[in-house]
Amino acid sequence: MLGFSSGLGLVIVSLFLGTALVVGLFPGIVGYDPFQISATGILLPPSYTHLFGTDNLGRSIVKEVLIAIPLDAFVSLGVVAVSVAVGGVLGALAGYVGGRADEIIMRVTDMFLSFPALILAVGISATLGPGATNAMISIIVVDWPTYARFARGDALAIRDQAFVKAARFNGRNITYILRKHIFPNIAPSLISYASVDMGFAIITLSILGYLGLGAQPPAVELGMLVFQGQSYLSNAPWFSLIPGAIILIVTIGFSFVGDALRDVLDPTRRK
Amino acid sequence: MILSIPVLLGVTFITFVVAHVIVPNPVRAWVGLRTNPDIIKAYTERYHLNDPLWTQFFYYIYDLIRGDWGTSPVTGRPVLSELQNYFPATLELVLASVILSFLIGVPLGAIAAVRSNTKTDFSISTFYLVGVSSPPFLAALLLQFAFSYFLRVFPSVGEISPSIQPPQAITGMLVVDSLLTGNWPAFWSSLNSLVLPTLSLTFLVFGVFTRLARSSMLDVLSKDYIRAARAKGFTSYYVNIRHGLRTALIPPVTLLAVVVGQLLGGVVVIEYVFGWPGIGSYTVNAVATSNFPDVIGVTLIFAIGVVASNLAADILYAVLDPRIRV
Repeated sequence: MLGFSSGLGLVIVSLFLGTALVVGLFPGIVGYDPFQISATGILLPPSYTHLFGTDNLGRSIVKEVLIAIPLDAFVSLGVVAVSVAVGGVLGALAGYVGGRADEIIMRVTDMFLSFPALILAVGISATLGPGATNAMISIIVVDWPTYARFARGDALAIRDQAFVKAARFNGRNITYILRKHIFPNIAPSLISYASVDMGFAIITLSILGYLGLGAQPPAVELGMLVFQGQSYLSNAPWFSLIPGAIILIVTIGFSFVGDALRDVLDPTRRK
Repeated sequence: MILSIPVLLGVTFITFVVAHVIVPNPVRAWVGLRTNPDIIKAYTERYHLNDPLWTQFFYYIYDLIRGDWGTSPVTGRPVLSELQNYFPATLELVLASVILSFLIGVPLGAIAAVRSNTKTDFSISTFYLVGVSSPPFLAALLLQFAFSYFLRVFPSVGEISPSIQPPQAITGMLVVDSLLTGNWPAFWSSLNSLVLPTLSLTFLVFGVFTRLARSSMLDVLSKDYIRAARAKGFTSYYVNIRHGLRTALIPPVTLLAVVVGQLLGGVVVIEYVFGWPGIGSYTVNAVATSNFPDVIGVTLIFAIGVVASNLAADILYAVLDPRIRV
């Protein structure tokens, strides 16, 4: 079922991650100098020389966006990776082992899930202080419970299947069963959700950046750019709308990829 | 419903952990930037910052219930009273957005279901995908630019036009109050100001209702009693709306609480963009001024809001579903 949306999603995601990789490894390519300001060239609309226009100090916005992409991309990837790991392991454990451990883990998960996600992320981020790592930690805290829920559900579903029981009867210990049997089978749904979750992570990270939490200048972050551009909305809308639109497009791309992954990884699909 | 209490406790516990445990420098955070040793000592005692954690937790809950949510180191005013001032505006915005999202989202979902797999279905799906994937500030700024600056139809900031006298405060919600006191200029002005923020919030969340309404409706439409009604020759309207929609309406209601949770996330940014004097802007302010007790207070009140709306949704669900009688 790899149709138009999956293809589009793939293109968007590859562009995004590709740019992040290239600019992240070779920032010189962009040629961004935060101190290269121009008094005459402020708030120019998009043109051939400045693809996304210029900001209030005359800097080219396309360069700022390109510099911001690796930060958003890698922090979000980190968030999702750690959340999948933590949530997946805890959830699988809870589902497979059951009993007390299950109760405790699920209580904790529910406690976190009853918070509006963004608010808790803002609260933790504000508490820990500014910085990209702190922002990453706060989003991870908010993000992992959903994976735990998924993993637990999946683990519960397979723990009584024949091949798992067989492994148990053969005397395999828990770690082996988890590693060889449980995780590979719960991974598909986790991974397809992880793709959609990348969008959520990027949006949350950008909101934190918008509020002044998370990455600090001279680092550039997409949400930060939106905030800077907000004061000039009436005469230079491109300043804040373009970074915002990029976040939107990337999120949609990841959402499409997630749907495609779900279809592809579905074990009930015929080859 | 009694299950809300452990949830509240859990929520309070998490806030406590954030406020007293993981905070790098508790004394500095709660006292603010004043360095007078006497003040520091007084505040440390008041918040029990040097006591063992269990004691701190006990006093934390005790203070919360008593109404002492701390004092803002910036303004010197108690946190809870500040929050109470800003709360009605947010309540008004959230209520308006939830109602509008439901009124727009559910019918769209039903239409998508009735015309499933057609262009209409596809465009509705795309529409709500864009909504759900939007960062809140994009929706807000886009609407603000289009309708305030470009088309000059709606005001860009504020809860009411500054030249109009606000109505007498009964609930604190301007639209409601002006309606109750018959203050028509204030009513139209506050309604006018309510439009853009509500539209922004609605855009972000309506997709949740649409998606569920669509699948719920598809589910109902495939049921036997629907086919029977069609076979009997009833009009499409009667079958789809009277039978189908009414039953399909129930699951989306349970989503109300989920939607409120998502709304509260977006409300922070939306309020800030539109200068809406609610808890959202208050949060942005508190974060910007490193006003720690306020940040914690806001976190707590948002969480309590979600728990409360969960409760309300449970009650609503019990009322609506004829199979459930509490």
